[in-house]
Amino acid sequence: MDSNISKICGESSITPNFEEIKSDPNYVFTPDPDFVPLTLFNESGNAVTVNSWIECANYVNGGWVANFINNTNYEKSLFFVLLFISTSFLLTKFVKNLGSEYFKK
Amino acid sequence: MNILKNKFFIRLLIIILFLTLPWVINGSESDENLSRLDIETLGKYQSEPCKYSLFEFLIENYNNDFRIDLDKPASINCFSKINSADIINGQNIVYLGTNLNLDLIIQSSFWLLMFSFIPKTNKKLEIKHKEISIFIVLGLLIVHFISESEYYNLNSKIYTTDIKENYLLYSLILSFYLMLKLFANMLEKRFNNILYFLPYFFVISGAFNSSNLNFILICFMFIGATALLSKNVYKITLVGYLGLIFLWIQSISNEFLLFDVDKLKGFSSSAFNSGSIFFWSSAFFLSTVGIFYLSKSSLKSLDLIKIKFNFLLSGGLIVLFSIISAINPVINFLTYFYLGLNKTASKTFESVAGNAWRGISPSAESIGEYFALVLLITVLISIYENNFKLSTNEFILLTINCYGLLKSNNFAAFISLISIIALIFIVLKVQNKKLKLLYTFATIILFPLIYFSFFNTYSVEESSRKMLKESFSISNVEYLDNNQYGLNAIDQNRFYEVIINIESDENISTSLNYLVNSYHFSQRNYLPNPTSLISSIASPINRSEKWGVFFGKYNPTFENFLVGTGPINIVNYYLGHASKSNTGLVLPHSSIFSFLIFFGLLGILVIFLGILVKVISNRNNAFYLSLVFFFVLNLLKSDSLLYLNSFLLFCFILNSDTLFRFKENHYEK
Repeated sequence: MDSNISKICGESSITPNFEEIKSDPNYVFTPDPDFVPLTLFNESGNAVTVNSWIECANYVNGGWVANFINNTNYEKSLFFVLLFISTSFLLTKFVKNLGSEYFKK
Repeated sequence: MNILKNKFFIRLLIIILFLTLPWVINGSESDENLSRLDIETLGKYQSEPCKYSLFEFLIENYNNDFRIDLDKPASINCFSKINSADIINGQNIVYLGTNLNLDLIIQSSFWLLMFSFIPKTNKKLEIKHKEISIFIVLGLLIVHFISESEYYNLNSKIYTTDIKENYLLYSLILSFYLMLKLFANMLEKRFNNILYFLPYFFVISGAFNSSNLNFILICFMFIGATALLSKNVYKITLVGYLGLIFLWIQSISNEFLLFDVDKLKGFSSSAFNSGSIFFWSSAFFLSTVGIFYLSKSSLKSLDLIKIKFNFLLSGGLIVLFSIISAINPVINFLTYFYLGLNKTASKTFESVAGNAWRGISPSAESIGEYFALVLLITVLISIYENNFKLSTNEFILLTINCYGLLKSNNFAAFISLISIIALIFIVLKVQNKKLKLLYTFATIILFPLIYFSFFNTYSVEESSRKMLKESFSISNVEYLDNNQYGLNAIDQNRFYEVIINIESDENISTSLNYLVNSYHFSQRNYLPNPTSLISSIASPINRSEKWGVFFGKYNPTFENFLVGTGPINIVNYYLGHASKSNTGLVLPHSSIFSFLIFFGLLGILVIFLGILVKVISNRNNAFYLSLVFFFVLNLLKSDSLLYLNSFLLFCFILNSDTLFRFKENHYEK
């Protein structure tokens, strides 16, 4: 089973049969009153609220994730990496210039 | 240990890592293996997007038949992963995720690495105003990203022009800053060697996968900016040019936010608004200054034998990459991504429309011209050096280039190549003045005349009608009445009747209107009537249809006709006038027409005068004249100047007047 399922939906003793769900276009997920509803997001940013563990597992199995901010975080991290490299470039040059001016004196 | 000390091997190792790592490291980390793609496993591919890497897919599908299509707007997390699959008409298709920012970083790093292979020269170029030049280019790139936001919205799900917390835009600008900084550092010791590697721009085109930008263009913009800041002549030119930019922006009547640039990606605007006109006009100016400055600075010291070999080798590499790209879908994707192709290479060996094969080039016509030019340069240098012996390598490469020309099926390039080679032999080898004059006359006048009369099966009037009918065929003229035989005024050659129809004011382009008028009110069988003149040239070179379409669409105001709508921007031409040819990229099929759109009639005249002055001042330099005439002849019927590599090569050729004087100077010294 996909490790993301237990991470996002929690542990369960149910063994999901995704093929059966996929093959039945009229399959209806029964809400589980004990399950805390979760909102999942797909790649396009679409959101869905799941009301049972099996429903959650099915969506996660189809590539949906718990947090759409995930993508933005990658962009943010990349930005800070690039900012760090750029600043290092500028600082190195600044220190070099400072050093050469000092030795000229 | 010795190998590690060798910089060449380290760089080679890094290249191999660049080619493989991005498609391997972002894997699923799952114990569950991906199945081989077929009708039964398709559901799994579709329900598990963004999970398995390309490498994991290839392990299971190495002997499967499939095609890779790109899912360009994927997030960073889904970069290099299989995002879905389809089976359409029995063809397996997998969608591979790529990302705007990561593409930019990986592709520019790879090309900078390739740039580092250019040998350093002893003379270091002191680049003045390096930082200011970088910031000028960065400023222009910000204008580009904002003005072409619709294009980037299609290529990134999180793209926005909102400045607040816009990490994507900030990252893009920082990536370009780092790229330019590294390029500037590498440029200082390689400046005088860059021209040797100009032919390789036809192998590595430098177009970014998901941006409408080109690495080579940005590098030349930087070189242009440094030249601009250090040379007064460029500053004076800029003042006049800024006036032109102002005129182009002022003349905007309708803005267009999205145009599919298709195979012109990286060297054509995707929008028609003040920002895009400002960016592309500035990019054109800076890159032209850049290539002119580079040519003038380092042309005199070029070694002809080396440049001949590089032309031959680049032609050979184009054929090689074209062949291997057609054999395997993974190689096809890798050549597209790492060579920065404007569009994916041909996937089969079959010719387009049954006659021409383009290989890795976006245009069969343009690459055919290049192969012919390689052959011409080889012949010219051999004559100049008085050495017709070719090494085994050169002979093999020459044969491969001939094969490339044959596959591209560019008959015009072949004919102009043969004529110019014949002409240069006459000029240089025939001693008798009378015979020389006779042969030259025969080649320049008689040969085209024979060709035209042989191939042109239409009379002057028939040619004119044919072109005008092609123009009308793409115009929205459904309102015309048909007679009892179902024929309308166009079918009966009553063209003037069509344009005086009140509904034609909006549906017939101004250029077609002018051509019909000039055709109607002239003695039709006599030249020079502009319509008959243009169609008589178009007909034998198989351009009646294409030029007819051009005139059907070209709808300038009088002001636009005089000064154009700005360089590298065909959006207004394409979408500004409603016609039946407003979808799919139908180009003008003449670089002269393209430049008429860009700079108008006055611009064309200025460029023509500039070339004429160059030609007259080099009238005794037969080698230079051969190259210029070859290029200009072919530009008449091809769109080559719409591609960056051909445009840079043309600028190089225009400035190559000192190329063949090097030897004389060398011996004098």
